[in-house]
Amino acid sequence: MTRKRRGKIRKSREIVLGVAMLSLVAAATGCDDSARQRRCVDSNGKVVAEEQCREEEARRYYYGGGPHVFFWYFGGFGGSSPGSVAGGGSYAPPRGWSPGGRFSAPSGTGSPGGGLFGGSVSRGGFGGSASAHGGGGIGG
Amino acid sequence: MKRITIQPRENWQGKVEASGLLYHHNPDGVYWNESAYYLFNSEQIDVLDDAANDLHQLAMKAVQHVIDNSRFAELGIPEEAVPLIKASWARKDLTLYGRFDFAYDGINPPKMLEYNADTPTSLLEASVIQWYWLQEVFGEKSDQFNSIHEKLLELWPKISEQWEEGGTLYLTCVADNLEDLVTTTYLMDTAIDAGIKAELIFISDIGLGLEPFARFTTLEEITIENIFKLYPWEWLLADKYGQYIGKTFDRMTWIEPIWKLILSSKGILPVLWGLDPGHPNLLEAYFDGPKGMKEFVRKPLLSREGANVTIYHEGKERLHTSGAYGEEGYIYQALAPLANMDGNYPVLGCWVIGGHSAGMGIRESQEMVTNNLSPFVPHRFE
Repeated sequence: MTRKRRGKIRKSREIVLGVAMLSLVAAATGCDDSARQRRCVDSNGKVVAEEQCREEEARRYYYGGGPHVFFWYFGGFGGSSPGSVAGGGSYAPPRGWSPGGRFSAPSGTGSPGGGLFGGSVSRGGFGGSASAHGGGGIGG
Repeated sequence: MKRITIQPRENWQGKVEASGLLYHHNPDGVYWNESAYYLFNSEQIDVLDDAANDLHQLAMKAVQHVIDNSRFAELGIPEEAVPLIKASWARKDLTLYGRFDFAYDGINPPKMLEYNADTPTSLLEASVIQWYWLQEVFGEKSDQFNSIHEKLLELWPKISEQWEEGGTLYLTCVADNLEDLVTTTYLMDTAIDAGIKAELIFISDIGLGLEPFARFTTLEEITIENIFKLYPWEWLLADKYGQYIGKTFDRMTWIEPIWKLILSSKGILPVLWGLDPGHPNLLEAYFDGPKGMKEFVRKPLLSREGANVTIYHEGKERLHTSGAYGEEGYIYQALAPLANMDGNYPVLGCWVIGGHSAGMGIRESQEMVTNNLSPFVPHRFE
């Protein structure tokens, strides 16, 4: 292995975050409308801090279970401050809702014909192995 | 190489969140840990830089060796992947990134624990978050082993030469993992910044059309021709649509390319050792047992996040991590004691972008196995 004394290995330019990352941050930190449509509630429908839902999601994801006591509540009326009662919405995400305010189709559903070539297109055939390995992402 | 404790910045959570690190905490506590940092000297950084470059070159030779000698089964690679790997290697499909994990104490040569060649994460932390930290805490004249962002920007145009001009790059990951989403979003931004048209699609949203020919599609049923996937190749192949990868292969560019399956198998560790036994940056490794080693690690051929790893001391099992891997078999690798830095064991993740060493991110844990919850600690050098 050739040893070489090189100059500093450093950045030659500043990093500017891109639009996609900024919008993801805005959605995740509750700074845009799509994120505000979702509230965290307890089993009585009372709004609690979103942190409760996130922590429970993380716990259930990493440790594979535990009690489910906080729920995401989509749409409806009522305030968004802790203690408000949510109503008129749904515990199921609306079609197309996804983390970060992005939109996706429910897994495993076909979409209507048409498109570029016509004919039917199926969906949901990728992603199954993630569930088989405990769900979620790949880390690494 | 020193571990130095330091006062975290005021409102550090808000600062790293604003830059995209939305997972600064995990169930084990703090993930982004700026209450300490690692300090290196310039010579140590040279050593790490050289090791990453040398090992990547050796890894390329190992891919050729595995193909020439048809050692796919030993590496746990499914049969249906073999013709695709050969085709991908023959047409020189470009690699975007990978990450070597090193055990290093600042004195002895860094030892490669593994090569996360297919789906490495902790990219944003290494590229962006620790750089902003450095700038704010130590000022503009301070230095860090980190040119990841620039190298990505330089590389994307070369990668896009593989497809038709103006073609869209789709980037995909699972929908329910924030770290994967952040990594994919960051890469998408670098591609866009490099002038590429890029869009995100969750992996379960990818459609399959069969008429008039097999094709993967977007939600708008546009045919996907170029795709970055933060999703392991062996999972893609095992999924329901896996059988259609071959049918669409000639019309698609995959990032990482499928030949990376060879490098993402832990079977590459004994292959590398066999090709260059005694290489200063490699650990002794074998397929068929510890071969007399008393201090060694048994790792599943295909695994991630430090799962299903067993550590043996004096031939006896001392530590075992749980997980759902190991069906394909195991390899045996000499144990590289991680440096003990005040009770913390750092693993140095050295990034390779487009085949060139590009920077480093450090994860540390209180145990000898680093997993997906191990905190990230920034670094600098002088």
